[in-house]
Amino acid sequence: MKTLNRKKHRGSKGEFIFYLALIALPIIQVLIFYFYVNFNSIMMAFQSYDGYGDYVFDSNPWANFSEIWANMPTIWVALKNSLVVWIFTAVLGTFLALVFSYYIYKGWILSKTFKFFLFLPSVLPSILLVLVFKFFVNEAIPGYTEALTGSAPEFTLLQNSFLPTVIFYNVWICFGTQLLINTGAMSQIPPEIIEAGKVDGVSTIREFFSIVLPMILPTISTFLIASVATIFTNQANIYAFIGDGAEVADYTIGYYLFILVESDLHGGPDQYTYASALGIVCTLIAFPLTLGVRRLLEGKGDE
Amino acid sequence: MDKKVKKKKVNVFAIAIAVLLALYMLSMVVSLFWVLMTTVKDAGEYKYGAAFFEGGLAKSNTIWFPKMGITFENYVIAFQNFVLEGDGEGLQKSYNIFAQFVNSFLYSGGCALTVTLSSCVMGYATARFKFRLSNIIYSFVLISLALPIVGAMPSEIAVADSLGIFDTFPGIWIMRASFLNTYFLIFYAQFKMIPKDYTEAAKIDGASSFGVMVKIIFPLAMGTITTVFVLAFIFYWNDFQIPMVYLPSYPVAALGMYKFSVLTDPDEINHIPVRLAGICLMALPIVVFYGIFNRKLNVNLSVGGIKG
Amino acid sequence: MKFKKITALAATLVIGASTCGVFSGCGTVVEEEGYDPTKANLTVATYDGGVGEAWLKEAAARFTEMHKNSTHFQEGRTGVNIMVSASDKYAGSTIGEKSLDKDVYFTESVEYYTFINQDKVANITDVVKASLEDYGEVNSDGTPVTIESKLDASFQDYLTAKDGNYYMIPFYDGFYGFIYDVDLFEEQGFYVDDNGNPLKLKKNATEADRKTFEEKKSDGPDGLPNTYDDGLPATYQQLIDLCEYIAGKSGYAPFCYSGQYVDYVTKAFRSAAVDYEGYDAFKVNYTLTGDDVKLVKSINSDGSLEFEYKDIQPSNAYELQKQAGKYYALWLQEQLFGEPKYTGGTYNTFDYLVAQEKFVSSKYSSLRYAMLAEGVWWENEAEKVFNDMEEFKGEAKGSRRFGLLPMPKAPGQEAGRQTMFSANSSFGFINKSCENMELAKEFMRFLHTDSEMSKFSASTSIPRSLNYEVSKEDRANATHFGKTLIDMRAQAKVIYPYSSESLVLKNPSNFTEGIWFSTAKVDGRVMNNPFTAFQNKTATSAQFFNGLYTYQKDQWSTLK
Repeated sequence: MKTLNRKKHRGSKGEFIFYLALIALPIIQVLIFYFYVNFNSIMMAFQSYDGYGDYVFDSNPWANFSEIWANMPTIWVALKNSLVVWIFTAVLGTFLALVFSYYIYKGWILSKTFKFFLFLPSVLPSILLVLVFKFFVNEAIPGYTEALTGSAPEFTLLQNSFLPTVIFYNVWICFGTQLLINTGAMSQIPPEIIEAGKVDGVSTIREFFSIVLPMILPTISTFLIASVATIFTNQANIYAFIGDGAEVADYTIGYYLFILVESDLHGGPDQYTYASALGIVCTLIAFPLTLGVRRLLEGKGDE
Repeated sequence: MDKKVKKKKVNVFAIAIAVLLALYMLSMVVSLFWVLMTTVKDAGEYKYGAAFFEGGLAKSNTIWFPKMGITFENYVIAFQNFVLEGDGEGLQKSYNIFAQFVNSFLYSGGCALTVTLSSCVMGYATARFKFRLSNIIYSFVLISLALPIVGAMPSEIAVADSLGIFDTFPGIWIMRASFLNTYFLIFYAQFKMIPKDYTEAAKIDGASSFGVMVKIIFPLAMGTITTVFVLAFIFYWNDFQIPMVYLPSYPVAALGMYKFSVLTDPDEINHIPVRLAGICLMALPIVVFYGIFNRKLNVNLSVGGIKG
Repeated sequence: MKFKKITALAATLVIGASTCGVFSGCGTVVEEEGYDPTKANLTVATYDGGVGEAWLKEAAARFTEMHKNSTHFQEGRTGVNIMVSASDKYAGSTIGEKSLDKDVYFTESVEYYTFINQDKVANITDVVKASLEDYGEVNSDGTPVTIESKLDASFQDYLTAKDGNYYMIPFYDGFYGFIYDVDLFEEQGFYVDDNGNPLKLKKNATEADRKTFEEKKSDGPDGLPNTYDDGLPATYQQLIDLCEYIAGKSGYAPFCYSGQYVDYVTKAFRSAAVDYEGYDAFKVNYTLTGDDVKLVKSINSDGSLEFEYKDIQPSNAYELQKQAGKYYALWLQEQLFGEPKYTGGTYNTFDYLVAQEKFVSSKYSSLRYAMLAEGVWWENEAEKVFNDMEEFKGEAKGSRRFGLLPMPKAPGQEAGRQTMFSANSSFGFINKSCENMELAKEFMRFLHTDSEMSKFSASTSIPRSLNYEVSKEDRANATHFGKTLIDMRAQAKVIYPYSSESLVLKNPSNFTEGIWFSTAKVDGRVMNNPFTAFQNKTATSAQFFNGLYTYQKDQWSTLK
């Protein structure tokens, strides 16, 4: 199909050369700073730490992979949490972003102001946002509760419902870029389609669900496809909230990998090899999953 | 009569969203108001409360209005103390806030430029040319977003070192010029959307492939290019982890911000009001930048196009 | 690739050229600020966290004075010039990534073998093994004293495990525990007499009052009269009773802690586990070899323990998770931190700096804390709060008295001296490309004389991780907290979590605080934080203790 297309074009040889010239530099960049750089860390999955700062090939190259099996209880929890985080940030977050975008697209009251505030978290440094959010949960909420009820709570939200609180934060700050892209896509919907709906007397809810959403489905699906990948990499800002002190019950896969490599409380140089193996396994799951979701969503979008 | 009923329906949906949005806005306003209020509060009052200074009991005043009056001292202390030292063979030894801004500007401006260029060109090539390679590249970008690579940093430093580009601005610009990102997806969608007829017509008029790209397609996508640049600029401005490792000689403002937020020095800057004042100072340029480019962000950006 | 390299090079040159005129020294070695061309120069860097930089500047001044006429360090130059720089950028984890630009370093968070593997650190075996006789240090039997002879056996084994050479010298001790407010204890009768009754010092006490007060104090955990720990809880039960007593008084709470770094609390209780087991038995956690190690066979329903004895080898060292000390420490933690009743009954989410601040300033608030879970460097970190108190309350710095609470004894444990646990990967070393190696090595040797290390203790209130005595004069210069620590350290044995056992070297992460002491598998669930497990009631201390064993047993076959 694709080669046929290529033959259809006149001067395709010249075009091909131009094409190669275009992609040459970026490809070289990726070859060096992605493939070459990551080659060592992929190799590490089959090595082990020698105790003296070096990594050597072991008699059993699959040792790190069997370690994954031994750590299944932890990995399972992390996977479950990663999915929960994904559902809230990618699914719920995307849905809210769509609803908000629709509001702004319609230009309803105060939409410019709302847009400004929705995008603000994407502009402000995350250090500031985390600090403010942490302060609110740790100081302001108990402080105002004490002022109102006379007694402060025994624990704050970050203490007795850590993960839900952190997920809330992640949703709270996630609208900015999606908003831009959604409103962009919505504004490309031909006005006559909307008009036709109006003539038929559809309500705004119907308009949103039956006209606007299906029209911008390709945009939504691209977002969802790209987000599937983040299931395995998203650290959900946990480190910013609690450093390396999170409980296993609150791990995500991304945070777990980070801790294995960076923490001197729970990790160490010997964990690079195991983390590398775990990364490969995650990729092996994420790869077909991403392609599957892509086929599912784009297949629907095309027909 | 009919019309009125319809209007009411409209309002319910719109009002429901508006209420959500208003709550969201309120949370932002209250948070930011607290930040600003705290930065003008006496650091001692924040810690020990106003009564403490009149012989009363210490009870921190973290959430109420300043009783001891408004002060800008926190900003002054922050400005005087938020100095970072460069590590390696940098141009200067110490960088005050302005010097950090210059570093930040060079870092984020350069990186935003290269990453936009690289993603744009790749997006153009893969979207407009239906070679098999294009499909492979597109799929690979999606996969790469999923790949959790661990422990690649030492290897990346070693490569940068051997190329002689470690701890230099051009080096970091080149290292960040990757198209394995969502910007690529945005450009891909944008270029896919522009109808073929445009280029066919130009070709018939004798335009070269390069001419078509630069003179016809890129101007059409100028809004997207600007937006991606702005988004990338903001992202890099707030990023401290990469410059911390790869630009040790040129500390950027975000690194300063990070350092002062996790500070453990028993210094006079070690008060939340002073720290927040410092962070606000450092965030100022990006907020101004956002104010200027806010309108530019009003473009038809999309990652998958629309159904049609 | 070529193209990119060339553009990069060109761009670098452009930037370099445009700024070269502005900043002097471009293209040549930048001369350090304070460089003295008439003297032999040495640059020394230190991480300015826990112990600050004052100690180093003072030591450098003494060294400079000692060598003011020395000509042998560099031809044609008389005297030495030591340039000290202190910054947080000299943290071990940060400098590990970069090339070193100073001659001598003192830093923390160092991964010893990863670091020396990068070939940036000088071999200093000769320094470590050199006799200190010229500094007047000789053993009573006439054998020479060396830096090596001052090192604990575990350090000697670990540091030389790779090739028999020394590349670094341990820096300072990192003990965790409970800091108690001495003034408050005296004022409110938190000390006890021989019968366990609260013992209060009268207001406006005279010398005579103080004397009787001191005499009445119980013997404390060491069981000896007239020592640093008199009047303090001697047993777990006494500590629990004390907390009950404090919590029962309106306006007082036993513990302040950092809710964000709860591992400080867990580490403080880890000290109890170590003290119960003692040096020889606890050391096995790192050597993984020991005969007849006492282990818990089962926990009876009344909480008492049945014991068994096993030989431990690397192949079955997970059995060490059944050491009774670990159970008792968890049990004590559950009693004291399982409910919020001993922590002021309210939220404690502050980071450690705020926790220090709340602890110190609570003297002037409606809720005063008696103890703080912290590391021994806390006084240096809390300096700002002390300055505040001086400024706002006229309470001169150093007038407040604090102490490090010695660990009370578990049921069945005899009174006696403490065994302490130093968890701190801090080291000193010389840059391999140091130009004046002779001077660097001499300075290193000088810093590790007893006299210098004693002065270090006085200046920082923290012990160096070597064996030496603190002189009376130096002890007198330390803060009250420093004095209690010096006294405790002087009669304690210290465990350092190091050995040359290859299983430990190859799997360092399994023997970290977070895994070896705090990761348990309870009913198939992995938990890594006893603090939250007890507070959220997801596990009891007995379950957690058994879980430590289950986790390691399941994990053991995956160790490399």
